[in-house]
Amino acid sequence: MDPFLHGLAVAFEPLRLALCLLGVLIGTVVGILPGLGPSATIALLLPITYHLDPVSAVIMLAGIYYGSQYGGSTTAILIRVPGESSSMVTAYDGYEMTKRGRAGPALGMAAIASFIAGTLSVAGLMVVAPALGRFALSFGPAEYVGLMLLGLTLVAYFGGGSLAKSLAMATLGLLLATVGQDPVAGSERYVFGTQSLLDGIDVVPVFMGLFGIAEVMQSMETEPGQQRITPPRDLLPTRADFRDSAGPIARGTALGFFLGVLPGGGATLASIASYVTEKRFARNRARLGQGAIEGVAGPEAANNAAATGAFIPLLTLGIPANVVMAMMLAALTLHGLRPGPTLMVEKPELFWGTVASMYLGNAVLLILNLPLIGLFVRVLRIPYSLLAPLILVFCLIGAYSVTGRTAEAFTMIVFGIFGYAFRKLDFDSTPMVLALILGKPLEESLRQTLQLARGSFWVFVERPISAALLGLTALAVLAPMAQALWAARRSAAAPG
Amino acid sequence: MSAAGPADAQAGLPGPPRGPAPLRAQVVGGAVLAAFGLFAYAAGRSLPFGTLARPGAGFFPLVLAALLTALSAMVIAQGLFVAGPDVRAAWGDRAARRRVGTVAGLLLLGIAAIDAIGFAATVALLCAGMTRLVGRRGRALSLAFAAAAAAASWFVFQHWLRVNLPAGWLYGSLWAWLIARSAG
Repeated sequence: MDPFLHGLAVAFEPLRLALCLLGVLIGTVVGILPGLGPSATIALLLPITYHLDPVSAVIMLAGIYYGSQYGGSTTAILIRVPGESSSMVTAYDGYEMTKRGRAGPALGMAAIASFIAGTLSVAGLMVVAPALGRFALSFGPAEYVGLMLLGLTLVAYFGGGSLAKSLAMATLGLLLATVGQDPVAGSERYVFGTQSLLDGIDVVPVFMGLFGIAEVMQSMETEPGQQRITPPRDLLPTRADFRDSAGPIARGTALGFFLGVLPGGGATLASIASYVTEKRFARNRARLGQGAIEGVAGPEAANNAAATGAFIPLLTLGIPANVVMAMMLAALTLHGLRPGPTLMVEKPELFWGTVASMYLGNAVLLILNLPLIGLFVRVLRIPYSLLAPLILVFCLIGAYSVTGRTAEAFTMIVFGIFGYAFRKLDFDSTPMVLALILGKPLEESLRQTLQLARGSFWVFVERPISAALLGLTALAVLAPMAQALWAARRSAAAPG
Repeated sequence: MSAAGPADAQAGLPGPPRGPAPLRAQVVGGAVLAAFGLFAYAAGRSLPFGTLARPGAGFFPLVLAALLTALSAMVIAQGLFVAGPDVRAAWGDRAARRRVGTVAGLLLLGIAAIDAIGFAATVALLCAGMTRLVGRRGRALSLAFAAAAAAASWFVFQHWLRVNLPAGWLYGSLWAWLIARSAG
């Protein structure tokens, strides 16, 4: 019997079918609500799965993970407060679309892009899993340094406006990431005797502040009663929306799948990388950030593809790519299983059953999410004077629940005021957030590389992947300078 | 952009009203970032820098602090030579600033009180303040909305989902005090 057909038979057993539905339903709710992430939910449900067989347990936990990627975009689009960190960039264009009365198409495209990317990456999981898993292992610390520097520079390059401003904001983000314990020696840095700074600055309160709180503050500049969001017109994307989104979905899926496979990559990095790519390749790239559907379709495709891609190193090599996958590894170990290269041979029903359930789960998520759009957009009929306090409450819950300490809520307000002030000064905070996410792994990789190479920077050009990535980084920095010089020479040479 | 020139003055023509010199947003932003860079450098000087072969805890932050200061200097230089928006014009009128300040004040008040009065009471305080003071809604509506929001968020997040949110130490102390008082 074909292994995939066997997997389908495994996934379609009534109990597993019910657990898959339950998992994606829980995942969607977890994604929508701030303060609850898939890792916390899986940790809570882990003891319950002990009473299930391993295949059923993994099917349910996987459903929670990719279901949360669907749900995370809803609040990001409607009120600019992402339910999950992987939906942060969806908030930029998604919320702008909402302000223009296009919340329905944004939510619809988020669900459709997630479905397409989820389904295609499950197909990818079936075909290239072992080969891609081995390729991911060729990524050493030098390659990670190249990849992260390229990501940061591209955000600054494609962000529009002054490259110096964007690079300065990115550097500030990297600097903020150094607050807390040194990742190598464990010594304290910029803690100033404060216990709460010892664990560093978490990205969730920073994002809630920079985007949620700052947005409410900016809206409050308008007289009460005049702050309004255009009432939603359509509920589903138009034909033009589908045409504009086809490329971003394809690129987001490929990029997200690849970044999901890399240990440490994950859905958040994938969605940011997709947004940066769309800044360069999208049909309406000039409108990106102002309510372009490409800014929703690409990142949503990328984060769902990454969620599926993350299963490859776990199932084929036994290496968890992120915290959620580490929880899955714990679930498998709890059942006496050792994920690795032999899992597909020794436990084919687990591998193929999980893969088959993912097709089913993605279809269920689409069927579940599309009819709910009408219900979700009703939130926008609430007057802004009542909606704004609710947004603040959502932000407060999201920030507080990170560690259960007031310090995180305070961090959120500090960054809310900072974000508002820097909006007024015409500085984009996006490079800072990305740098804050990448700061710690970048420092770890850089220091590891230098230690391994005994202080020689040549290692970055001796390794082909790292050399190529750093070459592209240099190009992204030098290209605007060359363009400016070229323009100056042409204007000087022009007659008159 | 025009300014009253010497020719206008000589001809006795009234020039545009003289205001304060323009303060470009980019220059102010650059200066704030430069201040962050310099502060990070000064605060991180005690950290061990190490060597290239064995970078210490101060290696990354000190390099970044220097880089931030240099990039901020570039931002300031760009802002001085390239035309850009004036920072005062972007800040809105006094009423707008007051509303924004009230939002920040309510949030700070809420966070200062959250451990003592608990999550639900903080939500009520925040919602009542926002709807009454910022949204200019009626007293009855503000109070009803605050009570509903507090009850709903308590039920969903604390009771149902068991999210780790503060219950408020004040109530326990108050209860203990009341028991002690009634016993005494």
